[in-house]
Amino acid sequence: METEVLLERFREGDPDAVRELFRRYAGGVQAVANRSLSDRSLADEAVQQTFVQAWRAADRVDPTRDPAPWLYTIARRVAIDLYRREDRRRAESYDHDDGTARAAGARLVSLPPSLDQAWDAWQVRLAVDELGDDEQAIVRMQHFDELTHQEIADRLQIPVGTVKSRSYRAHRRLAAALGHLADDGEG
Amino acid sequence: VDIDDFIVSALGDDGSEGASPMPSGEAAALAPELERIREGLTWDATWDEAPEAADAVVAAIQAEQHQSTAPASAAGASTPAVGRARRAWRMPALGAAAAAAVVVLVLLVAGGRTTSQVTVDLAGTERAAGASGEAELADADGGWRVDLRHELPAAPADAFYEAWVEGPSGYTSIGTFRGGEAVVLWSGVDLRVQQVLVITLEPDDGDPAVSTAAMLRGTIDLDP
Repeated sequence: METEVLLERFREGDPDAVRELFRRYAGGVQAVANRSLSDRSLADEAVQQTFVQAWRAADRVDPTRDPAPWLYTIARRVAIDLYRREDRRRAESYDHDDGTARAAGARLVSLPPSLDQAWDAWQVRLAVDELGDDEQAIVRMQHFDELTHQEIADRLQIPVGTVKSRSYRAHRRLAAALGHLADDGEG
Repeated sequence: VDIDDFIVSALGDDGSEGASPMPSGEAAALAPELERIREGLTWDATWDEAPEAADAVVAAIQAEQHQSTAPASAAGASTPAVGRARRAWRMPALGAAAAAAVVVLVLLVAGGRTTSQVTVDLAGTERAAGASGEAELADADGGWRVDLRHELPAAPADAFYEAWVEGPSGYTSIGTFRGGEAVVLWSGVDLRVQQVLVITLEPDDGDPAVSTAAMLRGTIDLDP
């Protein structure tokens, strides 16, 4: 589905369009939420809220433009809001325990500790999601599981040469997708 | 060193085949960014499965569409309903059918008489975007018990929350509270003839009239 058509249908609340937008960007939203919120169930809540809030704001977005930066902005804001909400609750609970209840509205709340990495999380996750399954598996084993090419070959039971060629292809694609990070002002 | 080749080589190096080419010149300036990419590939966030929540999002949107097409109240017309997303503790795997059923009417037969019970989904307004709540209304003891669960933060020291039902004769207060996720309220007016449940933030100024600061609202759908 073309992006413009997708966004126009998403704006109307078309279920297929909602599911398609979710399929394309839920990973990126999840990455932002996970980096910003330590609690997994809270991150899952952030993912849902992001797409619902995106739908509410969809009539103000240009459907001819890439929706990724727009969705990232919403995801980041939702993560901040949820973090602040939980921060207030924690502080409120502490205050009540301490017998010194204070007004939540007057409280200064902190920002998520990993928010500065949210943009990287978003970009890296979307780039990884664009890889094929076999490429994803190798990149994951190489970086996340810290396996060598030989160990990956042994685990996948494929020649090490195949691992190398897939790894090269995957990293070439990642480089193309992420090389611009140097120019981004977000990080 | 070609920047692109350097990126590929640096990212693709698995530590088993010698060092990556030494960066120089413009490529060296990219080293911090390469490190960011490398680091990103080691995060759980990069590899965690996204939640299977597409149907829940569809359901939440449909529920909100349903609510927005309901008759607008005089006070609510300028306060668009928002905040349909629900908390995990309430419904971890929000199914399409479950969420689409915004209001569930249950008829109970107790002690030879029929009682009514209804669940009202409350959506955050623009003043409380992202907040939500739920109220269970039950016909009991000559009135209505309202079990409210909400996500509002504690009220500021100079204000409090007030729950209202809106019907043909205007707004009727059914109780006040300051915080707490679960609140029990009682209504003496018959909720069968009320249309909207609203939670407002009221300044502690002695004025008993409803303020314009609606925080949560939801449609009551009980058969008369």
